[in-house]
Amino acid sequence: MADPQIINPNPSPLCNSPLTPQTINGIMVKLLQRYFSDSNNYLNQEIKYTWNSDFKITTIVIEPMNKWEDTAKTTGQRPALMVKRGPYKFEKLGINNKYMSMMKDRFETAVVGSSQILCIGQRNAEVENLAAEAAYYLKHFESVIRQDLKFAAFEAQDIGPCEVMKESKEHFYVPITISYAYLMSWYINPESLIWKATSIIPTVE
Amino acid sequence: MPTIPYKLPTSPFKRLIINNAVIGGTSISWELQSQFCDPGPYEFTVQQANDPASDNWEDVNNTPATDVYAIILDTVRRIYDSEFRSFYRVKLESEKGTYISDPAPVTGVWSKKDWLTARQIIKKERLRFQKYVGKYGYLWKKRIFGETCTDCTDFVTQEATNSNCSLCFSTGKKYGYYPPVAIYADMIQPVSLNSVSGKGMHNDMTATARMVAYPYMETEDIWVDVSSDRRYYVGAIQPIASIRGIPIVNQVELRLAPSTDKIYELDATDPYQGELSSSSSNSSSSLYIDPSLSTNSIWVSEQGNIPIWP
Repeated sequence: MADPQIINPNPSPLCNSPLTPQTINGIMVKLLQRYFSDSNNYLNQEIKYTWNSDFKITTIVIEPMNKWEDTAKTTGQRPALMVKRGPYKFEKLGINNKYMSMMKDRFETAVVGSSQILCIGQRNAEVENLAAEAAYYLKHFESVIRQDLKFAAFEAQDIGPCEVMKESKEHFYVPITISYAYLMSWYINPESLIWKATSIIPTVE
Repeated sequence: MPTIPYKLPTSPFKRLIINNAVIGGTSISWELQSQFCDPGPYEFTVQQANDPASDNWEDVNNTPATDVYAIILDTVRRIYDSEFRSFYRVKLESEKGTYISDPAPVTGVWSKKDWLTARQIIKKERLRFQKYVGKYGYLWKKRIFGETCTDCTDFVTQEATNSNCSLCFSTGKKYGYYPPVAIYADMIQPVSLNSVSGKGMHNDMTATARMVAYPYMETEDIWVDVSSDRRYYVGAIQPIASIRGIPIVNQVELRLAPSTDKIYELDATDPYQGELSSSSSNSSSSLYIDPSLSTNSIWVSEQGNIPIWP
């Protein structure tokens, strides 16, 4: 007999709040942190790092690019996966943002954006492995992520070339580009006198 | 009981003179100390390696040259890189023992006068570091040649894949660094500034240090400030004093390694100690010794100890 399903009594904040750039940064970071917290998940067993929320234990840093507070504790720690938001664009789906609706006050538009995950490490082979692992993970699960997190599109788009950056010694980084889109819809509730739009036209008999 | 009028230098070799030829045909000659009086015959073997601290010296002449004053011609091409990474040393076997000269680079030849001048400059520079301005530290030379790391190198490309590797310290070579040697640095302290840029939060603390050019240093070697245990990667090396193009004093860029870097786990013992215990000549030479200061070199080169300048 199957175990009874346990429903988490604390619903995800995503249930009732819209997707925003900051939310998506958080989603990216959390997805990667969860994945890299257990080395059994890895396709490539050469990867030796595991993420831990305790900065004294973790062997890889996974954070948003511009986070300041906690990151100071792990400054310069490598390898690292840094999540960086790219540009967002609003794509019109219909004239005056009206799409698939005959309702007068309902609007809908598509938000198309991208994020970059920078895989930083001390050696070329190290970051190549890390980038492949992160990108393959997102690629394999993109349909699940798209469905669960209500994206219209979610795609691990490309793995960029390995570049050099100068830190305590020469480090390497590989960018992974993730592109996504989601629909944003809204209503406008007019709050004005109900007689405002009443036309009073004198008629001549 | 006979008295010893003066302390004999530890090495019977005065200096090595190397006339380099890139495509092969390098001549190596040497002078012995006039006080050296072991009974003969003397058998000389010239050895070559691509790193002065190497533990894998290759004999240039397979049959030792007996009682020669000194020229051995190395007909093999040794240099294939832009750094001219080739070093020679001479092994002398007499009836009383085996002696090994300090390794000498192929960067050029000084006349006797130049050599003496350089020696004086280096001596004064070291005195200045020691008495007044220098910070005492160790230099760990990165292994560039040698056995590949068996723990983390990629099967296909032979590249290091783990910057936290305990065996190679992300150098890709087994044990990562040669045993350390002591060297002073006159440093200007780096500015500390946490900042965020395209590479996340970072604090690239770069210090500038004036250091004697020997031991021979290269980018990605490590210098450790002994008092604070701060460890720095050697960056750009700019000669600021040289004689006939051969550097004597360098200005060295030192980049502070973050405290989570694996190099903080390096210790001062020689990891090859056990493997090399049968070959005392190799083991003692795994510590790099000043190539131009044979006469006054009194390094303590015992294994496991940090050699110290007097």
